[in-house]
Amino acid sequence: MKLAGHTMGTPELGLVDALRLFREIGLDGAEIICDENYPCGFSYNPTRTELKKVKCVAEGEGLEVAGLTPYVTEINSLDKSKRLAARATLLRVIDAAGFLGAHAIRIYAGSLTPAEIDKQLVADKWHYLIDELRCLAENAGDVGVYLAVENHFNTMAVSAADTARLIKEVDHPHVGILYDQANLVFTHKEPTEEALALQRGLIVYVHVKDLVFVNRDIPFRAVAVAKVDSSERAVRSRVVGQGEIDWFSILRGLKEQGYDGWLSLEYERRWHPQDLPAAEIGMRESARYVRNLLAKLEGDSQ
Amino acid sequence: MIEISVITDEVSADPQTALELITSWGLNAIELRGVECYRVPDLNAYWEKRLRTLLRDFGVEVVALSPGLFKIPFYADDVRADQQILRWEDNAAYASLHERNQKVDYHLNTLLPRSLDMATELGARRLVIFSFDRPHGDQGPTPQPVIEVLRVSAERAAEANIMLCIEVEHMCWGNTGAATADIVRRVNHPFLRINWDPANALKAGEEPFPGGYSEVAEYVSHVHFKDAASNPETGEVEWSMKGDIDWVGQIAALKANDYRGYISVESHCLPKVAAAKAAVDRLRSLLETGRDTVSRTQSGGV
Repeated sequence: MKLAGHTMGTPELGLVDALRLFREIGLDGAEIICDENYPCGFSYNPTRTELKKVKCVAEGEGLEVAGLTPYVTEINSLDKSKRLAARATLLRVIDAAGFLGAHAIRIYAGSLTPAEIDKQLVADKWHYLIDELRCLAENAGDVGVYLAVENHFNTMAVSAADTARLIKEVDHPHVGILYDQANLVFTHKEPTEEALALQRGLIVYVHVKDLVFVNRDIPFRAVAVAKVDSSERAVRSRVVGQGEIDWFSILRGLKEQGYDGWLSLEYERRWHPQDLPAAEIGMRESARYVRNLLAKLEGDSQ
Repeated sequence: MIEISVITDEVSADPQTALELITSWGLNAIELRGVECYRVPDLNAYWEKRLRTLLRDFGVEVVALSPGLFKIPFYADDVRADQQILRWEDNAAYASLHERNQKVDYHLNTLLPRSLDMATELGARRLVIFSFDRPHGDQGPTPQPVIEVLRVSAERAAEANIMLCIEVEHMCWGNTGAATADIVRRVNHPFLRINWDPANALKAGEEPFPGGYSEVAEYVSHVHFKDAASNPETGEVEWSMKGDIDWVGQIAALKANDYRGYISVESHCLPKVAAAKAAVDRLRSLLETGRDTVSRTQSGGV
């Protein structure tokens, strides 16, 4: 398995400096944020000159672009114009991913808040989501990129079961799962073994992060899709290996089902800088910890 | 990976004959333009039905349609300021301009949706379009109203998840790589890209490779394969089986830029079948070995 750094971990750095840091701490690739006004990434409509620079620096550092991360949530909007705008935005990201040779694009399974419980509304949003993912998948397939739908709160893929059901219904070779066990843990969804079993054969990308609960009894809630506001949090982010997530079991499970792709260190310093030291320290330590686990797994299998 | 397709009417106006020949050459991807004496999607009732049967029976993939969209003059004021002395002349001029404007309406509001519908039905992901006739002698940039119409078209294409590819065409506003890239940049919509036709660029007086291609490289979504050479006696650029285009360099550059689409053979030479087959063989050699196998012959034929 290959290890990537997520530029969410380096909000204080420009993209070039982040890529250099990733190389310096021994990572194989980078997951790059696509968002307006985030300094460590690029916008939804980057110029080819910007992309050429990223490609050139990444290649120069010996890094692959593992993934791109847009924050588009309206692909299942009931408003057609919003769905089409989301499609156009994501097509630009697909273009950029193709140019950079990225393996995957992180995709939100639209949006679905806990308040949206009307059966017809949920059915409509599901239908639009499937249609839109199929449309996008055709374009992603053209450039050899995977759409990786993340296990993520406030979307239609909060649980492993829902994510697997979605991917099976979309049924396109370029759409798979972005497995994020930490997200499943803090939303009180499936434990590792069950999540892996449900998503077997569908995982195309993995996020690696860690956390501790400060209060296990608070039900999960978040207003937004991209992040949990500090007032809503029942957990604290941690350097990988210093929290509650059993990464050895996760990696062993992934290996057992033949997963050999990217592990991306989704070091959430962008959202929770109070929890995590700078990437140079915390991401480095996370990488070291995961590398040791991978080596142990390798040793166990020999 | 770059794949070869063939515009069927370059082999024969009869789709059955064309498909029989194309598949016998080991190819199964086609671009549809002329069908008998019709141009897609405006077929008569017989060909509406027969074409679909043939496509199914031969098992070919339709990669693009070329309905001739916007290969017409753009809107003009139908009430002219420069009135003639004779009223019947005014009337004739008015009628002519009115008809011209109705044609633009027809292309935008009827031919485009019908073409998108047909592309969707046949599974074609690309629609080759044009950029309206450039008035003779006008060397200026593409007028803003043309840009606006193309933007509206791209928005409609996005709805159908079909890519519009403006063909570089010597008689249109997008007559060269540089002019067509300028259009795409100004329209700024991810569902508007370029059908790169180096021979057409040469006919417009541009050095297609590397010059013209360097302008369009990032927007190429489809390619036409033909050659052209300057006739030493007349100075006119004429279609040729082996002309002045550096196809060795061009194919290498497409590969280097990770182009993964189709190159459609469009020899424009006689005799049709022999010219199309020779062009297929030449393109195959260029793609597989990087070598050009066709020696220079008289322009306009094999």
